[in-house]
Amino acid sequence: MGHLNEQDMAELVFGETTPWSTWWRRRHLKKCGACREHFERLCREQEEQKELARQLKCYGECLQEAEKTMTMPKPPAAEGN
Amino acid sequence: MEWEATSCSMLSGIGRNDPDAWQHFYDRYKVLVFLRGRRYGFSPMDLDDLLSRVMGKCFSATGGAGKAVLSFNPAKGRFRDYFCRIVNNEAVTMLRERGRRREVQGTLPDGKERDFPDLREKDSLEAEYRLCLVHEAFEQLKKELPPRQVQAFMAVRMDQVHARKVAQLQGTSLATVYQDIATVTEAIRRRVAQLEEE
Repeated sequence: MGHLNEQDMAELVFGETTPWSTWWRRRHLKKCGACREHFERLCREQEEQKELARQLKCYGECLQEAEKTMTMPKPPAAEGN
Repeated sequence: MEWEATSCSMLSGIGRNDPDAWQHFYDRYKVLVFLRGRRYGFSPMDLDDLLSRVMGKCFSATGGAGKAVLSFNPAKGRFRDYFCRIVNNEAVTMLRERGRRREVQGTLPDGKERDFPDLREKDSLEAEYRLCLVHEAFEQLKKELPPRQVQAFMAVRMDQVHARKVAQLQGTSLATVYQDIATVTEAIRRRVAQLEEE
């Protein structure tokens, strides 16, 4: 039995396959332990990637709001100058 | 001047009155102060005030020499714990000064209980601090990693562009796009771990 290659896996993880291809690949994952393990690892990585992206977007939104309201204070040493 | 992301070099730069170091310090921590202040329900004016007080608390000016002296003693613990404690303390002080005792105690003027953050709530502080580190790590890596990889990560994960479209635009395959995103993710994770050690 052939294994799913990197391209097959990427298409499945990204959801960029036709319904028939999805069905066939998922059927293969049920039967092949190695491919199933690989796919599950890729799914976990994908969740981590999404979480990182979410954090970066959240930071960007907070930064925009912060910059509307906050101004940089002068350094304490500069105040005596 | 480009600052290495080491707290010690940045902080010692502030002690030497380097405006770049001060800017770097402000850029790194202003969102953390903003997030903390927002959790306490501060208005935009209050947030500005909070930031000034926190920055002033971290550094004190000596009399004659006129140089900023860092109040933090590395022998006593991590800078982030020291900084977060200052932010929390200043926020509560401000609430008390403004007569908002009930908010400090966790109830609103109408008597209802408020979902008020526990001052000792370490997890939320850690999460907010980590948010700042993730941003800083990514900003550094954007200059270091191949643009194609950074673009793949930003387009697919942040802007929700279809991966196949990104592959077409970049002239690569889906497998390459996935690998690029994985590479950026791993790089961010490692850089955050380095920054956490500082």
